[in-house]
Amino acid sequence: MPYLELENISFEYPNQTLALDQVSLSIEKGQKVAVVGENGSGKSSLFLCLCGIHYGQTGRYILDGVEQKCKRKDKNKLFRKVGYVFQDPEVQLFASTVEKDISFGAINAGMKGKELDECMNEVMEMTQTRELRKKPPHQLSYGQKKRVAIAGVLACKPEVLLLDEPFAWLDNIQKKNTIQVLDDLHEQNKTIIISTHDINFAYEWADKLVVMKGGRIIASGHPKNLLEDESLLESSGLEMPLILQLSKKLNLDLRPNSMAEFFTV
Amino acid sequence: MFISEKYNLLQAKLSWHPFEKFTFFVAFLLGSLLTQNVLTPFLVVSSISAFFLYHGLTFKALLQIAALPMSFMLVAVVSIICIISHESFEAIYITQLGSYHIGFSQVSLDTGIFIIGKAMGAMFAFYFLILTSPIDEIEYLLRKMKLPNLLIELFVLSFRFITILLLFSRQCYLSQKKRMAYRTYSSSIRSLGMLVSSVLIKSLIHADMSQQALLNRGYRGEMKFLESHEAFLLKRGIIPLLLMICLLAIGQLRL
Repeated sequence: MPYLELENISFEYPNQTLALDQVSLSIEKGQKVAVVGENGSGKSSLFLCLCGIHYGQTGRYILDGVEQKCKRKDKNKLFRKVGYVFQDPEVQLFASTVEKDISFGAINAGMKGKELDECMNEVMEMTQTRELRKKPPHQLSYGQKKRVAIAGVLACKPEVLLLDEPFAWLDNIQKKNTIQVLDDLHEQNKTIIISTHDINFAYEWADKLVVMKGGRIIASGHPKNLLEDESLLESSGLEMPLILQLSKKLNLDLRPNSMAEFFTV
Repeated sequence: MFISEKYNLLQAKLSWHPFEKFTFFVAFLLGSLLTQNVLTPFLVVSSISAFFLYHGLTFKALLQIAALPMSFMLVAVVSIICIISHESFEAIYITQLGSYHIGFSQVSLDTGIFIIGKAMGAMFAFYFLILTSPIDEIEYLLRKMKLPNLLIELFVLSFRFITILLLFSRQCYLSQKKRMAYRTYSSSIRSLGMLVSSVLIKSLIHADMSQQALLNRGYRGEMKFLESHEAFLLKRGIIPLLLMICLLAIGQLRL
């Protein structure tokens, strides 16, 4: 049974913009999912529905076998299972110091005393934010704010982590650090869903690719299978990953999984 | 940048418990306000200044932080020192403008200096608290003083979001300026109006998304954070108490 399932979810904003149109999606526990699509295709709206901030006017949302409804106690349970890292970390950081901001979610999740300290240490170690603990958020660089935002959500110990464009405005080093965090979380069997415009990264990293357009999911499956389909790429406004372009150009039979693997071919 | 962050070297050096710093602040404040002479506030100002200079604050920075409240006080105290009367009076200096006599007497001068001294003493006491305590310690003190949670949360959010508001404003202003929006008087007025409205709209959208982010981390109307401070040492708490007694005693002397 899938861990996370959307059945014909439709969501419309108050200004009558149809953000999601009969969206159905199923994700297994521990999967790495990349959601791709043009701007305005509904990726962020999908994430807001997955974390319970918005509820579809039609359809069902089932998480770990339990249907999620628009009730306060369901929302409270949902936040402990699904964490959402916003694209802009400024939106998320609000406390007077980094340490307080990270502890906020953990305390709301019911942690205290030794458990809280261990959680904080683990999360700050993972996101390399220990040395920033006493600093106010507005004194941090953008990359540091992103790490703190991720740490703040990780402190809630969610089973599913949603990251909206986690690499936006990050330099290469910060991007590598963030990828390392995602890999560490995957090893803990967390389900990770990211939205990204980096098709090369999505090809190398994801177990499942979801392609969106106009509020609908037009394709979902393994990136290797989907990203070779030129008609799909054209209709969804995506580009073929560089690895596949080079493989096709060089008439290679093999389809390498990553650039590193490509260089060994 | 806030004044407490511009000169935060004192925060880094003074790793006391927040209550210890607060007791010093109370001692200085009460010593300055409950005095009958000008000597006590002078002692408060000079001791706090010496403390700042010892811990690395430059003399220029000290004058800068004293300049703002001093300028307000000087403007206010002129109205106290200056006497305007139809009749002549005993004065150090007096001049006549039409039917009015304007000047200042020994009593009005002494009163003005006394008020400036008290105000500067109180101001420096506040500077002591602000420059030695990071914002999270001030928040901790407010919680311990049992201030309503709503007010404390407003304080925390205001401190955080005022920087974002200033950032929005600055970005919008620069964007407009690079497109010659402030070249003429009329375009400046129009651009300023557009800046205010765009910053307001952006702030509302940001506030909405921030609320969603808070809800997603389990916010249920109350903000609880981890508190971690240095241990409170009773002997360090006794020193400001003795200081307060001395200042109050000196303050009661008729000099």
